[in-house]
Parts: sequence; C-alpha cells; structure tokens
Amino acid sequence: MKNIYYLIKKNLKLLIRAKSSALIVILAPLMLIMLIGLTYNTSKTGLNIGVISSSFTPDVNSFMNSLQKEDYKIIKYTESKECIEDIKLGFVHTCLVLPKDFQINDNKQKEIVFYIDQTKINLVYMITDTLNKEFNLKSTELSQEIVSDILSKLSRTQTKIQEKSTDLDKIKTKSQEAISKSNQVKSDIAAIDLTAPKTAYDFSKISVFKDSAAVKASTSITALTTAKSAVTSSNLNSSQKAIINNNIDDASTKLSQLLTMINGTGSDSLEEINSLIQSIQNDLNSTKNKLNSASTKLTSTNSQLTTINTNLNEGITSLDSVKSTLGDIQKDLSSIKVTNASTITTPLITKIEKITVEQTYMNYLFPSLLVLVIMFVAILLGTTLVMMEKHNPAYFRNYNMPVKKITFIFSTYLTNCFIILVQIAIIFGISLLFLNTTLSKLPLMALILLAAASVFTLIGMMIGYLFNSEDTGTLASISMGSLLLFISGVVLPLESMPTTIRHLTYFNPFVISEKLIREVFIFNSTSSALINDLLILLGYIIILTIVILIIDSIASKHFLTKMMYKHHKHVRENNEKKI
Amino acid sequence: MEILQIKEVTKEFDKKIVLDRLNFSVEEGDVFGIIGQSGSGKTTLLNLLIGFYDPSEGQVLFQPDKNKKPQDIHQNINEMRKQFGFASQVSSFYPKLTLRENLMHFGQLYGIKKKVLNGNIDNLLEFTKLTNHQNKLAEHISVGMQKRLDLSCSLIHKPKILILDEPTANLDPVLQKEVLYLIKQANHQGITIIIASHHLDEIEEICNKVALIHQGKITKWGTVEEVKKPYLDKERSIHLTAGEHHQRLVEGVKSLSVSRIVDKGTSLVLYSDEIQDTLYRLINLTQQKKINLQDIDIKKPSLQEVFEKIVQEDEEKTLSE
Repeated sequence: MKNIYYLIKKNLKLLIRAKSSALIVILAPLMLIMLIGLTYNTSKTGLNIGVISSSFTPDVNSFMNSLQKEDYKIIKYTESKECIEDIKLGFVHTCLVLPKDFQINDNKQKEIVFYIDQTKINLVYMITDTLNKEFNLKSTELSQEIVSDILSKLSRTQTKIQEKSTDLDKIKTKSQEAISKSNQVKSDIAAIDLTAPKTAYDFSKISVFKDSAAVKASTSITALTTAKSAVTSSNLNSSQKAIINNNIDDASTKLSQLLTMINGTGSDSLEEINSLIQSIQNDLNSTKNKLNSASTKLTSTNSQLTTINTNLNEGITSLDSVKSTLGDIQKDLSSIKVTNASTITTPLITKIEKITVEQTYMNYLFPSLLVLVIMFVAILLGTTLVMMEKHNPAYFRNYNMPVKKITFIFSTYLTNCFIILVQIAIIFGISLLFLNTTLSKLPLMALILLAAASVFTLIGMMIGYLFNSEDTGTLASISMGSLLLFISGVVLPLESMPTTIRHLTYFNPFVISEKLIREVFIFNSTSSALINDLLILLGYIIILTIVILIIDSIASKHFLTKMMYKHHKHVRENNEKKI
Repeated sequence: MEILQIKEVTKEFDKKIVLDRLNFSVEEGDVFGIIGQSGSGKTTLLNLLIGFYDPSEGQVLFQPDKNKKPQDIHQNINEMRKQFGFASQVSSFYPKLTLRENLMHFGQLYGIKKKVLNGNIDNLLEFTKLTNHQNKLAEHISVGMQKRLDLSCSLIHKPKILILDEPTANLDPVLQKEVLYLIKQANHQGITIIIASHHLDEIEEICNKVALIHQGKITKWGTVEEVKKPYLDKERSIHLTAGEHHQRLVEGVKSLSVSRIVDKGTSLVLYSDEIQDTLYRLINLTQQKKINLQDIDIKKPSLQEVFEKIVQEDEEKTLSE
C-alpha cells in the first residue's frame, strides 16, 4: 500500500516538474471546461432575427421591440427571399413573417411563419424553443386581451341585470297588486245579485177586474136610465128631466157596482188587485236594492280596475326598460368578435418553413463532420509531423543544412496537405456514393477544405514547434481541437454564448470552414459569396505561418541546445563511468 | 593558408560568458583538435563555427580560396554551410531511411545534381565500407556502421572543413579506431578537420594542431609539439611493470622523491622533473628490494598529461589572483 502511495507521489512530482506536461495535462482540461463554462454561462440567446412584414405597423414594431429587449438582434425585411438568402449566408438565424397587426377581429388565429435553416440542427431547436416562448407570451397577451374584453362585457351585463332587477321586482309587485285587485273585482262581480224576482204575476185578475168593472158600468148605465125617467116626470122640461134622470141613474148604478168591486173580496175585487200590486211593489223594492248594491260594487270595481290599469301601465314601462337593457346586453355580447374557443386560447399560431428542400439527417451533419475530421486529422498530423522531425536524430543535421527554415516548414505543411487531400478524395468518393452530392460542387468544396486543412495543419504545426514532448504536443493538439469544436456551435449553439464571446467565435476557423462547406454543400452558393470567409482563412494561413517562423526561430534552437546538452551530459557520464 | 580565423570571439548566454575573446586560426589541411574539460565551451565553440550560434562579439572568418577574401561565416551562413560538414556527438540521420536514401536526402538538400550525387554516394559508401548495406534501414545497422553513415552524411557535399564533436563518444576501442581511420582518410583527401574530444590520446594521434580551452578561454594553441614543448622536460614519466612484485614496488617508490606516483593496478607511473636521477635511484631500489621489473619505459608527457598540467597551472594562477 505504501508503495502505491510512493509511486503516486513520484508520478505527480514528475508530472508537475515537467512544466509543459503539467500545464497541458492538468491545466488544459480545467481551462477548457472553464472557458466553455464561461462561454455558455448565459440564459440569453443572441439570435439575429429577420422580421418580414409588408408594413411595419405599431403592432409589428411593438413585437420587434419586445424581441430586442430580449437581446435579439432584429433586421427588417420586406421580402422573404432576401431574408432566406441571409439565413443561408448566416447573417440571420431565422426569418419571421409577421401579420400586419396582432388584433384578433374574427375567429381566425393569426399565423406567424418561421423560416429556419434545418441544417443547423441544434440551432433549429434553440430557435423554435426560444422564439416559441416569445410567441407564447404574445399569444397569452392577446388571449388575455380577448378574455378581458369578454369579461368586461359580462361585467357590464351583470351591472345592467342588477340595475334592472329592481324594475322586475317592481313589475312583480305591481302584477301581484293587479292580481289582488282583479281577484277583488272578480269577487265583487261575483257578489252582484242579478237574479230576477221569482213571483208569478196573475195578470188575468186585472182582466177579470176590468170585465167586472165593465159590467158594473153597464148596470150603472141602466140605473141612470131609470133616473132619467124620473127626472122626466119632474117639472124640468121634459128633455132636461129625462137626461138628468138617466145619467143620474146610470152613474148611480155604476158607482154602486164599482163600490161592490172595491169592497168585494172576490177575485175581481179591488183587494185582489191591491195584493197583486203589493206583490209587484215588493219585487220592485227588492230589485231596487239589488241594483243599488250592484251599483256600489261597480263603483268599487271601477276603482279597482283603474288601479290595475295603472299597475299594468307601470309594468309595461318597466318591461320596456328591461327589454331595452336586454337589447343593450345583446348588442354588447354581439360585439364580442372572438367566440371560437381555440382562437381565444391560442390567438397566435406558428408555422415552420424550411429554407431548403428536405434532406437526410446525414446531409445536414455532413459539413460539420467533414470539417471535424479534417480539423482533428490536420491538427494531429501537423503536430505529429513536426514532432517526428524534431525528435528525429536527423533534426540537428537538417537544422544546419544550407536550406531556409521556411522550406522545412513549407515541406511539412505540404506533406500534411497531400495526406489530407487523399483523405478528402476518399471522403468525396463516399459522399458521391451515399449523399446526393453533385460533382460540380466538389472543386469548390475541395478548395475550401484545402484552405481549412491548411489553417488546421498550421495550428498543429505551431503546437508541434511550441512543445518539446510528443505526448504534450499530442495532448495540446487534442485540447486545441476540442476547444475549437466546443466553441464551434456543433455541440452547443454559438447563439447561446454572450455576445462578445460569440463575435470572437465567428473567427473560429472551424466555424468559418463549416459555414463555407454548408453554403456550398447545402445551399449551392457560388464562390463569390464565399470570398470574405475564404479571405479570413487565408489571413489565418499567413498569420500562422509568421507565428510558426517566429516560434521555430526561437524554440527550435532552444530545443536543439537542450537536446545537445542532454547528449553531452550523457556522453560525459559515460566517460566518467569508463574512467 | 588560414582557412578559418577566429577573431576575438566571445559568446554569452544570459550575460554569462561561455567563450571569452577566442583567437586562433586553422590552416587548410589541418586536423585541428579542440580540447578542454567538460563545460569548458568546446561544443559551444563548434556550434559557433557551424553557424548554429552567432558570436556575441568577434567574428569567424572563412577563406576557402587564396584568391578570395575571408568572409564572416555568420554573414551568409547558408552559403558557408555548403563548405562545412558537421557531425555531432550523436549520429544525425533518418533511422527509417536506408543508407542510400539518407545520403541521397542530405545530398539533395545541399543542391548537388543527381548524377554527381550518385557518384558521391557510391564513393562514400565504398570509403566507409557500407556499400553492401546501402539498402538497409539505418536503424538496422550496427552502431559502428551508423557512425560511419553519420560521417558519410557530413561528407556528402565534399566540404572544405569537417567539424566533429566527440566523434568517438560511446564507441568501443575497435569502432573508435575505425572512425579515426576514416577521419584521417578524409583529411588525406584534402578536408580540413576540426575535432573536439575528451579522448586526448586520439587527439594527439590524429591532430597536428590543438587548442586548449579552459573556462571559456584558449590557454594554449598551436601544433601538438608546440603546446607540449614547455612540459617535455618537466613532465616525463617512467612506466614500470613489476608483475607479482607490483605491491613491493609501490611501497618502495614512496621513498623516492618524485612529483607524482600513479598506480594503475598492474603498472606504476612515476613523474619526476629529474628523470635521470630518479631512474638511477629506482634501479638501486629494485636491486635492494629484489624486485624484478618486467618492463620499464620512459615516456615524454602525453597531451593528456600536458593538458592536466596546464589546467592545474591555470587554476593555481586564478587562485593566486
């Protein structure tokens, strides 16, 4: 157990004392992680968003402002074609086709169209994810507006109903009163006795009385005739005596008979007639009473009906008011234009459009994979070739050859390029077989890959010249490759980095190379569109060559001196042993 | 003709003077030995001569031809390098190339035309007796052959001057002889040789001139004889072999007044400034002690011995100062 401890202790000491190894082995991964951590430690996404709209209304501008507040860079377009071209060139990450306004005036949902570069797989996810959040916010905002409108109208309806509730109560009270009054009228009317008197009047008795009186009258006439004869015998001239006697006699007779009829008890007696008339008198009195009573009732009923009339008039007025309010409510509710539940809940819908024809997943990954392979091969090969040369026994002789240092550097570079070109040829062969690559794209792609390979080779060579140990050099190469890969957008999208760092990463040769390959391989861009990026790569080549020359002039001599010192020491030790 | 002149050459590393105002010259056809203790600055001097280092001060002038003016080698180093061959302590060639490929590669880098180069390669392979191995990978041949190949690589462009740093280091005596023989042969072909070595016996064997470096300074330089001359009388030695009486001899010589006794196990070396007197007393001693001497040899001081003496004097002088 102790031995393990001693050995570990020794290993760590050796590692730490070999400065460059310690730097690379211990610090490089830590620095790599720290760098990546710092690079991606942000919740903000730096997307360049192209906004396409036929008219930049206040609504559109407001939405654009809200996006800008979230650190998105907004570029305005009026034509989708221009924006799509800029996506292909990498100037913008997505294009949004926005409606003129976001007001929902009918049951139709507003559609927002995304144009995305589906070849940037992780970016697609990020764009849809982050922008959907923004749209969800906007959609929620619009949804809230619609619901708020509906709710305010409902609130107004409630207030009006409450207000009219008292009217309805009034109607109810008045109606109840009318019912009560009408019941009263009903009972009053029911109480009016309009039944005819039931006594049967025997009007034949009056006839008999008439006949009897007529007979008596004729008798009286006879009596009066006698009287007339008497009067004739009298001194009165004879005519007078006769007329007077007759009339007197007749009248006396009729009177005597009439007296009999009036005093008689028979059926033709006056008593009988009197009884009859008494009976009629009673009936008439009774009828008079009833009619008086009815008259009183009718007077009361009239009053009741007047009240009912008033109540009903008031009820009608209240009902008119309620009807008017209901009309208002109906109008208010009719003014709610959005009634579709899905439009209310999701007033905005998004539609994703792809900027290129749908291809296989491999096609999208191909540019990244190609550059990835070229990068690691070139860096490692560059380092390895330089290390091989440096650690070769012939290095010292080569160093002292009448050959310029740049010739050695250039030959190493060309050796690398040759090997990488062979690999590129193999990759192209495979891509022609398995991917839908056209032959016409290959020369331009080969040129880009050669430029990329040159940059990576020179980086590898620079590492080779910088470090003395092969292991350290290899490790540094891998670390460098990993760093370039991590800040390339292949693993994590560049757009999730802070703006300043992201701008620097656009100069990452991996990013530039991948962008160039993507533009040629997927978007069929022409060489003129790529010239700027190619010039950047060329700039790298020149700078790296100068750096390598400087490093070589300093480090190589130092390395050889160190190597010679080691050999010298070794020889001296051998000599001392011999002695 | 002085093919190489070192004038007031000083080399400093981080303000530490490694070579201090060196002045000496090498004649065309010389085998010039540079000797010195470890760390004295021999290798630095050689690296300076081949242009690996630039001098901090002074200049190294090279005159390949009588009709040409001497040129500072550091002014036009790539041109000068075509005139120089250099072999370091460690063989410097590509182990994964064949012998012929190695020679071809370095020859081409010197800009030699293919036809001429093929001739040179054939000659060199024959000269170094490597013709039969020319198609073998360099890593597959013996150490001796590798040393010869290294020498061939240094001679492929027919240099005017061949500079060798410890050419026999790490070689066994047989291989050492082989290498020294080749160096001599190269010199016979007109190549001026500058050689730095710890093995002062081999320097003495092959060099006609030497320069002694001590603490970055040239303490002596000239022909071997010139360097040794002041010490020839003083530093002669008597080499004795007594076989089974060796121990008695060791005990006996202690009574003699000699400057130094070196016991080499089977032989004994006595150093004395009065060699005649010492020899007389030694004979008396062997008679008295009945010691049978198997061999007795009186030697002039070797270069090694002279070198040690010079270093000792120099250090004493430094201490006294």
